[in-house]
Amino acid sequence: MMFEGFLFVIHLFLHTYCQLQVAAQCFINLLRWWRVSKWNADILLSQAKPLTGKLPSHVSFVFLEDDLPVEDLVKPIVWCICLGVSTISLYDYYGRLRRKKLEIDDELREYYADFTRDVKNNPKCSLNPKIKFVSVENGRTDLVHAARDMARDMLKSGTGVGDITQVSYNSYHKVFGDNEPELMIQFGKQRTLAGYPPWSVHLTEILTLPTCYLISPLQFISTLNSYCKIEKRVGK
Amino acid sequence: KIHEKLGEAVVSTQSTGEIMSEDWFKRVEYTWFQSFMIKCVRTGRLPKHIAFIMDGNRRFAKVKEITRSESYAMGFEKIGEILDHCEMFDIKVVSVYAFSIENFKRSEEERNELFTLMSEKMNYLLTKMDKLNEKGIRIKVSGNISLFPAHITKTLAQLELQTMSNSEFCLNLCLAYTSRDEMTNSVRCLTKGVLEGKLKVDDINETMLDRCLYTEDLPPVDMLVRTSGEVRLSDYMMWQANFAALQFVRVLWPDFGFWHFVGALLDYQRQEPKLREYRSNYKPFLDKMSQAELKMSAHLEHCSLTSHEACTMNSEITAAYTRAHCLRSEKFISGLKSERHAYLESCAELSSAGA
Repeated sequence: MMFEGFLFVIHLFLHTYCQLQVAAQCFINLLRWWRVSKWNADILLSQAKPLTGKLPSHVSFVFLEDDLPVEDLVKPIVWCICLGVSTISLYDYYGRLRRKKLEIDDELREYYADFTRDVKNNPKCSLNPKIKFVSVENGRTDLVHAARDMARDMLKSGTGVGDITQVSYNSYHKVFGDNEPELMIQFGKQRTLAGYPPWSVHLTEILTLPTCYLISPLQFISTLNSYCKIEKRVGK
Repeated sequence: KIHEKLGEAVVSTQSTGEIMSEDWFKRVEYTWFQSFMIKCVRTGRLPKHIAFIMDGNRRFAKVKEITRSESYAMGFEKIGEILDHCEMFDIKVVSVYAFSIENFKRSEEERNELFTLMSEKMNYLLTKMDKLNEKGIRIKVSGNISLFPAHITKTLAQLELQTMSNSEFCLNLCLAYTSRDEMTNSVRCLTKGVLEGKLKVDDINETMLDRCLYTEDLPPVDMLVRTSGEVRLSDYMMWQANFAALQFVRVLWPDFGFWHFVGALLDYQRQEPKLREYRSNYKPFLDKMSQAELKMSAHLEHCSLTSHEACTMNSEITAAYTRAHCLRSEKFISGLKSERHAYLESCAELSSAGA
């Protein structure tokens, strides 16, 4: 009983600490609001200038929170578009984002128009990025379907199993194919793949933010900065 | 400093302040507060399977101004210490990422250092078979061990075979391993089964893919710990850790101590309700999909064998197809296990040429 009680106190402290982290992030972003409220794509690009050449080409946003405020989650997507990220994927376990696609598209267009106002010379903002909606249904299931498709093709063609390599198997994957996210930003108090397509995270850098609520471009730039500082060693 | 002679009973490290022994099985001595914390943490939910990415050995060597070999040796000692902590918390399965297929790209000098250490430590464990059996430790090796020099492959196979019947604890050494290689190998096994007529294409499902992995009968990973502060999985256990708590700890592997371990467990307990929700919601989704697929496959097969008029959905036909599918799958998995066992036995009898 005493040990359970002590553990309860520790967890109470941990939960409170996590809640305070979320609150602190929101508070800091609110304080910064006066500084970033007039930001547009040009200002974002000038702030991100030191990161030129090191930014990922595919960013995956994983939403682990229970609430998914559309007006907040579209912001990092638009910022990615303006920084020239060519592929953006949005993952949530239950596929709620996919069901809200229309609402997200509307909100995205509205915020994009606002953020790219008065943009003088930013060719990256005119890029048309690929935005993928992913959920647990695209996780391990994708590997199973890829395996079946491969087996069917091999039955037809009569080729041997010696031809099955990572490269050939990779070509059957429909979710991301060869385009694995270089950066995964997780929003929430957990740190887990939560059923994310397992084939596609083998070298992905996984960074976490407590919440996407009231996210600010300064915080986003800071996260990208952390990504750019990581030494990508690949086994060496 | 670490003394290299096996005869030295006790060594100490400045970094951890804890006593470590060259005898890998020497019990860690816990302070009263550590014992108190163990009792507290044990009252909560704990992971059944923890996977470690033991990163930071070379950086540790630079920081402490010791050789890489000494640092790797300390890393091996750390595994023994972690096993002791796991025993205290009743955690039954530990996987360690000891050597990636990507590590073969390192310089020849470093590869040889690693192979020498691996050979030394695995032979040491072979000499301690009585201790391993006394403690009920099963050593499993996951990976493409044929990529190693013959003498190392032989030792690994012997270790796995001689501890196979132990069931108290499992130490899963991931050697010559990457997760993509493992998943590709699993697909290769299943495709071979299809091409040989042992399986139908639609028999390939998530359960079968899972059972053909190197980890086969081990439980899923509940917590994955990576040391040194890196925040990627580096192609490790991506399938098995799909619903695990990820702990990226900013300490180098030889410095990973009791309190870092307890911190990771506490954070796991904090996340556990949400992780349990994900897992418990996934199973019905998988079952529902599996049933729908079996029904469809049964219908397609029935239609291909009968006339158009007789082609109707029928629960008896589905049940018969499902039974046949289960039989084929079990027979295939049983055959695969025998093949793998036979492979280990052939490796264990390899000559040591090339040592």
